[in-house]
Amino acid sequence: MEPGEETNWLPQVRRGVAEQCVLALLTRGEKYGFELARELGARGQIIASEGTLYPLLARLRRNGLVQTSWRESTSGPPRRYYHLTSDGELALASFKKQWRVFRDAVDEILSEGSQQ
Amino acid sequence: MTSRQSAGEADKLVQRYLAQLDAALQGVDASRREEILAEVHEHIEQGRDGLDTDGAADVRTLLARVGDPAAIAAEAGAPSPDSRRWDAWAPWLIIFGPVAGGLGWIAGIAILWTSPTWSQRDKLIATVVSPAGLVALFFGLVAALSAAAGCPEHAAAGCTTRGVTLPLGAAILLAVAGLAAHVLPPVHLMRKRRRQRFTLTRSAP
Repeated sequence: MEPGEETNWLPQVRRGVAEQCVLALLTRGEKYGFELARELGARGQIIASEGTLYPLLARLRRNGLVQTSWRESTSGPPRRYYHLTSDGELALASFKKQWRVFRDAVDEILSEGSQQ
Repeated sequence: MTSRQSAGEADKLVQRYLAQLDAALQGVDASRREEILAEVHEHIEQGRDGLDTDGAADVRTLLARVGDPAAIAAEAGAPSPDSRRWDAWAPWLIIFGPVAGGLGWIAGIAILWTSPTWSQRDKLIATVVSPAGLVALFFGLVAALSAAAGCPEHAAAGCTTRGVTLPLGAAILLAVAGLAAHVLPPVHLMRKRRRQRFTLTRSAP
């Protein structure tokens, strides 16, 4: 593997987790794509690049976890805003529960490994 | 004016990027593809609004953040370019494969159905109509030959010799229609493929 190249587990974990992070960002109210991309991009690692957010949003919408509405913006043309549906809220709540268990299990195994 | 030139260059960079993305999204269904393209375009325009100077260098940085079109396409579930490798062969094999012993035709159909380049409808038509056309062409030719050989003087009035009961005109019509039905679906496949390749070459720098 080339130096700096992503290790192969990351895209796989990202695939499932990035969607949930988008849902979580939408719990505090609707956002448009650019806003979401910048917020996720700023934290690093969650999405591979800003553009990959859009297929992900399309998938969430097809699965009924988010909905979109066109809204006038203060500057420029109308924007497509994303907001959570009730299915989206349910999916996020169930993810949060499972994620904590999953994360704790991984942490525990990793710390056991480092103690030996 | 240098600023205008540089804005023109920036526009070109964006257009080229979007054409590359469009090409990378081949094989994703049309409505989803349009949605992703529109959203990424919107994203780029919003990013440009936030730039201090809309120069080529800033736009390049912006596009780098948007990311590799191939990565976006992969996230959208686009098939890999490898799956189109043999595309060019399919139409020719479908036309000449049956004449050359049938195996060629089977290979052509296999390429056709495993490639994301064509729609289900195109595939079905090429698989069913093209061989049916060949059968019609064959019978048309046989009927025309026997009609011409059996009663050349008044062929149009009908000819019942040698068990083939088609007037010469109808036989020729059948052969011509058969030829068209055999050749046109593969030609349509070629055109569709060329249209997609045009998008790909247009996006090259």
